[in-house]
Amino acid sequence: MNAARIVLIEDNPADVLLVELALKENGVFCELTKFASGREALSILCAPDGAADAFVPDAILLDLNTPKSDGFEVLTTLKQAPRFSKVPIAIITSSSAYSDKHRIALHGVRYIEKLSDLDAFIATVGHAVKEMLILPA
Amino acid sequence: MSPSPMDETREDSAPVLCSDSLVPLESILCTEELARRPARPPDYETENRALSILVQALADSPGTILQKLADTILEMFRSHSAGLSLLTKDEKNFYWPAIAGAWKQHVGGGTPRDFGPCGDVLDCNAPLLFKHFERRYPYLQKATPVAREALLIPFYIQGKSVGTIWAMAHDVYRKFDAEDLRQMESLGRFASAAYQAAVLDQVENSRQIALHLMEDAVHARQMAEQLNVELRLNEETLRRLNEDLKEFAYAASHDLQEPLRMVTSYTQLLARQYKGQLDGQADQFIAFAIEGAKRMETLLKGMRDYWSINERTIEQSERLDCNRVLKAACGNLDVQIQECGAVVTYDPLPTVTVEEIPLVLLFQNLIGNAVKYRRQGQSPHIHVSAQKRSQAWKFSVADNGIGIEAEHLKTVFAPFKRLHGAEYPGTGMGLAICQKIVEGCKGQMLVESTYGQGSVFHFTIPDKDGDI
Repeated sequence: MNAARIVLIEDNPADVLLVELALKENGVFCELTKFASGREALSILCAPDGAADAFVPDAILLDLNTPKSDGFEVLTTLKQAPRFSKVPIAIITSSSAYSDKHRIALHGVRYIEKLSDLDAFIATVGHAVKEMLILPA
Repeated sequence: MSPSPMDETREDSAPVLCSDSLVPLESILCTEELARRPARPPDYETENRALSILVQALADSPGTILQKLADTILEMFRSHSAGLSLLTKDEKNFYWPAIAGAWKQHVGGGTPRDFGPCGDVLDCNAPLLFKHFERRYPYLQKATPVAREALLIPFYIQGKSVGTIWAMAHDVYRKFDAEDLRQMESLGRFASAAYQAAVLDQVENSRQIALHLMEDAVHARQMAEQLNVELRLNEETLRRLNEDLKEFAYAASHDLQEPLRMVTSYTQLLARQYKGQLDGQADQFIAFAIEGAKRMETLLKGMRDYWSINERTIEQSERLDCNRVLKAACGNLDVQIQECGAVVTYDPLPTVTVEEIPLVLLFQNLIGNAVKYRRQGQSPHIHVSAQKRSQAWKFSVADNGIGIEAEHLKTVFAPFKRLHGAEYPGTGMGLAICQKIVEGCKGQMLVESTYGQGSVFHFTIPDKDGDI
């Protein structure tokens, strides 16, 4: 079984580590590409086809509050790129604000809340990523 | 002002207006006789005395200048009656504002402009000496005693003849002469100037005063407007400060959440991966850290809940059966209620018009508190009732719990206010949220309590349906 290629756009290294822990503890066999900002992610992911780094991942996890680029802008750009049309995207956020949930739902993507209880965090993230890899976008 | 002789006589004398019976004007005039009568030297002494009296009057009380003139003429000229006639505003009549002597009783009376001696003087624009003018103007018969002779001179104001000054003799012995005319004209000029200065200046003064008053009024209005503007600014400032504070508290409660999550997650991770590998004290430290972080998280959640009440548009109201709302609140507290065997009873509750979720939360917090702050060895009993007030429903949630000490009754609704330690865990936001919900509904909230016996929380919800 090939390793799933997962992109994580997250500026907080502590959260990167927690996500990695969650993937590991849930037995998600993957190759994780990490970007610390939305701009960096877009410059690589949305590079013209044929570029060395241009690839299509199996799932994208996007932190809503990355610096330098609004999470929703990144999301919109990714959704508009035809090559990512089949890639499941999830927003991971600590915001439980109804308005954010609503906006995310409007984009038709998954919403993963960063829960502060460690066990709950691991379970939630792991479960969501597994579903994304199994179900088509 | 009703000219008495004129009005009384007008109807009677109407026939004389017909020209057949009209005595010609010339027949009642003897002006030329003034020149023919024996001349006497100018009496400057009398004239000066008269003028000084008028000057004094002008200085003392300018408004009386006309009456003073009449008095002076009467006295100086040894006439039997003296006075003034002034045109009324519509210039249709003369009225007598000042009379001295025998005719004094006729003050306020007058004559028609077009049919009387004063009108004749104005028409001729010259002094006229009349003899028995009642022969031509029969209505003057009623003005007694009869005027044997009357000397009338025009009275000018600002160059325009507006009336006459006159002196009368009621017997045959007093005959006016050229010197009388000269003196009267002299007094007339002075009186005219004085009248203008006194009376017209009063009008001018009044105009000035009116102007000042108007300026004052304008000024007052500007002040009021200024105050209004300042008030609005203050209100605006206050509103903005409140907004800022709200935003600040809201942002703080949200932004603190994120770093706190790091603390919680990583102390948990620390415990998970290294528990038992460090010494026992390290494990305890980690446990304390986790506990502290979790507690702070609860506090922040309380804050967010509190401010989210603020965000809510409480206008999203609906007709709510409070019996159902109370059941929903108790349903949410099912576990706690079952655990301690609490009994919740309630009178039939009304239907109110408010938003559902806050109202459920309100009951839930109050009943939750009653369950939480129960007395040891005593099953909680909570009773909910409602009373109709004039424009609101007053709800009461009574319990038999530990109660609140009198000195704390005023502060229990403050955010983060806690009267207890770990024995009764909580955020200190419950009652603050309750009060906020009630105030959001334009109601009021208060608590009564007997320490050690129980508390009653009262709140009002406006009865909108009662208004209909």
